Amino acid sequence: VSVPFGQFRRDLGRIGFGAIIGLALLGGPTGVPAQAAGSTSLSAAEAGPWLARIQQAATNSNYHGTLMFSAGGVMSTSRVTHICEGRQRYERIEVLDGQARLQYRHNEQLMTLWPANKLARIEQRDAVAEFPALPMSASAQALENYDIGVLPRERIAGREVDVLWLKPHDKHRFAQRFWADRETGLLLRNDVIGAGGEVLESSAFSDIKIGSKQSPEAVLGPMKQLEGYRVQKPLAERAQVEAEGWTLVRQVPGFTLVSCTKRPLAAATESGSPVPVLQSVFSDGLTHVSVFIEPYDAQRHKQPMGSSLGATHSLMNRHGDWWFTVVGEVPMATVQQFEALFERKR
Amino acid sequence: MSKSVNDPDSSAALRRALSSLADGEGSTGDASMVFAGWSQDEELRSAWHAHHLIGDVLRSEDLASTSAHDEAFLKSLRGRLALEPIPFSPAPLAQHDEVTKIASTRATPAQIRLASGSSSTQRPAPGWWMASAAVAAGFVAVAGLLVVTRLLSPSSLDLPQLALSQPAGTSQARPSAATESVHTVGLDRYLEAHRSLTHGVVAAGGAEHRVQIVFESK
Repeated sequence: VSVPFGQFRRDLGRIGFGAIIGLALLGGPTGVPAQAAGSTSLSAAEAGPWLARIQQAATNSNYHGTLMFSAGGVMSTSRVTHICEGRQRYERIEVLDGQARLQYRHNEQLMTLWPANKLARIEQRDAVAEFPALPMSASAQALENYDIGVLPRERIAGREVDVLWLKPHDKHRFAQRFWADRETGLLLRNDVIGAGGEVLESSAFSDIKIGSKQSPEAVLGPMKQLEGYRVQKPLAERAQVEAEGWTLVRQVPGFTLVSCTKRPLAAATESGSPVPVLQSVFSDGLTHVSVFIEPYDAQRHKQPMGSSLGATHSLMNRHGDWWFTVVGEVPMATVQQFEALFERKR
Repeated sequence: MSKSVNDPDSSAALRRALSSLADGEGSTGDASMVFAGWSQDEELRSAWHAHHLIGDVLRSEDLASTSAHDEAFLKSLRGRLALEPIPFSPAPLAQHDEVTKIASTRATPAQIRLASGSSSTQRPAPGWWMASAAVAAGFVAVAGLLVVTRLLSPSSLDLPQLALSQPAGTSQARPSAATESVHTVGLDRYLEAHRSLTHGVVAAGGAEHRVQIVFESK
């Protein structure tokens, strides 16, 4: 997966802004109908490097700043520090609202601390697809599902940004808008936009410093100091849909299965032994849908229900002996399609 | 009242009162008499309509129309009013078989409100409620406060499949608010597991999170 990104990055030097400006000049009468005033559509070959650049910046740059997330009228803020040293990645995220919570990440190892409860949870997480990063498969797959265009430049968190719009090819996904730092390519803001043009959710840096590197000890230090903490290590194992007795009987257009894990899923301070849940994650290159399957338990699983939080739609429903929970940043109709994807084969 | 309507004398008095009202000369007493009368008196209603039609035609022949025309207009107006989304005091989606029926015809919130309201005389209407999930301390520790907002969203009601897949015989009254909020708390861990994999902890931040319940069944 990393090979194409490297290639894209080299390409960027050649294509880069020249292509964009060239295209902007060619726009108008011959171009694709503009989506917004002053916007320019990009061909797949031109759009790829943009996404790759964003991806590269999220992984390979050093930055720290304040990240705001808002969805459905609710806002939360986190302080984020990202350190890159050779092939090592370190990250510290402190949630600033409500209950204190800290996350430290060293490559795939993720540690979450709840200081008030003196609780620590250590997990292995592989996918690094969170804001400001894009899914690893972003460039190629996203281009099959979205039209990408460039809007006039703006300014975010005191920095000049290029603005990209991503318009879905169908109704199975939402439109998105990216604000990428002109200098580094780092994503400074990401909006998910509903069918009516309304912003469903938004992630944005309110302030950011790019390039100033902190010592990895800022992350590694606290990861070693767990005195007085109760440590949980939920065991996650890679799984396969087929091996778990399920068949994917159809497809949701544009989405492919990107990961499947089996692990106990419980609120951190919940007592009792949690039941293992099978989580299958599907991606269309930009957005994700998780399908959780677990044995039906009349005690815990009540009535079928659908709900929404910003762009995140979810539904819970019973299928015979099984309980399905589908969660994704996609319209409810798409969530329902995922529910119908799985069939028990034994 | 019904007695006075059936009484010929009082009927004539009503007609006179109606006539004065139509000419803009009626007293308050005439008005209240007419208003009380026409809720039950079909004849009085058509007389009232005829008076207005005569007035209309006197003003302009273009306004002449059959009474069926007016009735159709009123019906369509009532229908449109019923279709207007009502953002406050939604009644619960009462029973799953109702949901099935309503959802499969893509009903609007107002229709659902009417449908469920008409069949749920036993239960007190919960109205517009928000249940705090603070009951589940463990959950609060993880992702802040999850608040359930009951909202019937028309966009998400196309769920015949979900409702139909319910085994027969599970129809029952919707559980109470408290049960539901605890139930909804169960969603939190999935949201967290999903978003921590894809969008970081940003989403699962400590702020109060609201989940809009867009449909329920059972």
